[in-house]
Amino acid sequence: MAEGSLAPAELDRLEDALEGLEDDAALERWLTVEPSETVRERLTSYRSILDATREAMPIEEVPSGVLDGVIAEAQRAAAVAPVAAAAKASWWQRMRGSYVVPAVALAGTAVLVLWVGQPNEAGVTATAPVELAEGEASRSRAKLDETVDAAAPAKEEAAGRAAPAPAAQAPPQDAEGIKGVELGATLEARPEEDAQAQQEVTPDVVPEVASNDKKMGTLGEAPGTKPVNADPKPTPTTGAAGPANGRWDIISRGDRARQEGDCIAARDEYAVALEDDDPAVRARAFAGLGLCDASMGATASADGNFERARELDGEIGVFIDSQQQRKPPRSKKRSKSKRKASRPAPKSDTNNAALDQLDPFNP
Amino acid sequence: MRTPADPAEPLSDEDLMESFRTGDADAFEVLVMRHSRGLYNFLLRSVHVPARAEELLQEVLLRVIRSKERYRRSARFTTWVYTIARNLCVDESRRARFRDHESLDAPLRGRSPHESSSTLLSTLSTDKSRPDLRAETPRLRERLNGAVLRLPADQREVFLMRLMAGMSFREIGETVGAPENTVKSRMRYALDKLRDELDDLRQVVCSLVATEGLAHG
Repeated sequence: MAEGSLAPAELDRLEDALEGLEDDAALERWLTVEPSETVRERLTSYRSILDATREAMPIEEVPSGVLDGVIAEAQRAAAVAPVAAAAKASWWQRMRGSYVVPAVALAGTAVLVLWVGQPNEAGVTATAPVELAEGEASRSRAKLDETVDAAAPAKEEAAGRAAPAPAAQAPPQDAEGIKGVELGATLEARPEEDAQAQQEVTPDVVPEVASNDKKMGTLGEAPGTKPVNADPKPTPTTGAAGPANGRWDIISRGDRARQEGDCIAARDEYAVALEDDDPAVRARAFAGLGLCDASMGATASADGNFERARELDGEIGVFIDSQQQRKPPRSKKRSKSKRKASRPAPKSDTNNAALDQLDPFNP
Repeated sequence: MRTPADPAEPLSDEDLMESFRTGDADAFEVLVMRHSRGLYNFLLRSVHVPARAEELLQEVLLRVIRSKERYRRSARFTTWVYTIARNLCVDESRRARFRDHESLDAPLRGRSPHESSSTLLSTLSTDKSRPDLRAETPRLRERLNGAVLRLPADQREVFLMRLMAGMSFREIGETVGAPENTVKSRMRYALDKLRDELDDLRQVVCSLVATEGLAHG
């Protein structure tokens, strides 16, 4: 039984000293620095035990002949080793000598090329919407073109009618016929405006345009394409609605705008009506322009327009007088909003209403 | 043979083993000369039979020869070769339990049934009544041998590797698969047991050591 018990720290120092226990210098150092007497005594006894054990168990030499067979075996193994090493190439050497490495490299390159050059599905799908959009755009443009072209056949019809018409026409027209040609040229020179206007129009308006062209079949016709109507008076098809003629719609819109105080819009309408070859229409347009001038205080210009109107239509004076007796409405700025044809008549006093009734062309 | 950078400096065990792998038989002979005695004494003190120790020594070295291709410089040669030797000793001790011959722990034959059973191990000198120095030397030797034999296997192998092979505690730990601190503790336990076994001979032991020191002084 060991004498006394050692503390854990002492045990640790004791075990650390075992490494150099058989070294005299190291043992001397341990014994010098070790504070514990018990540890020093234990180290000393350990050294004695080891020394006694060495004495009791001396190192025995290997009997001779025991290792002869082992050495011979080692020589045989050493002789075989270089041959085997030469014959047995390393794994990498065998791989290098074969076609495996180039084949693997080629396969890897092919895979890489295919992977990189593979059609990008995302790209394909990304372009599809673009194509669809383009298709949509093309279809929309087609619709617009159809819309625009809706008037073109009508124009072509008009042109077609105009083509044979000259053969059946009477002697060349007067200045009105020439103006009609100019009107046609002007209309044809305004494709953008027509297209833009027709883009804005609803489908139900397109027939109106076509009907207008149909009704205004003489627009753009060559001189003499239409027999001159000796009676410039329009023939009213309905009662107060006036003649069922597209050009009179222009006059109506002009008059409406003028009566609402929008002389700018009225002037635009009257300017279009002035291109008409019907003197009655032109007379009415001049009358409307004169009334606009009069409402703005441009008396001289008004008188001039009135004179031109009377030259074209002798009975236009009644209309002018009736219009001049109307209560001048408040002038309004030109509105860009569409004006409905079925817009209710503005509330006016009894006097204006009565005067309106005198105008056969007031729808 | 691979030459060291400094001709005076001997090649390490790892270099010699590498040379042997490439076909240098002389390098293996150098390794045998360095380690055969320590291996033999370790095996001898473990199995206690010289003939068997010789056979085990041959087996250890032959296994080194056959396994030279698998040797890697990352492993120390001493750790590798003593691991082979230790494993053979463990196998030998297992075989010895079933071997039909007297073991140290086997009861002695030829005694009358009335006598208390004793083992060969117990007959090893435990007599504490012979203080004579010279006379005690043979008995001291026997008692020490007996005391070492009575050590637990894990403590005995550490003690023998330290004493016979001169291995460091780190190398011993790598060989037996235990941490260095554990190996130091086993060594301390072994020394404590031997100290207890030879307590009555402490004076004799100290005298013997002093005498040897004067003789070699």
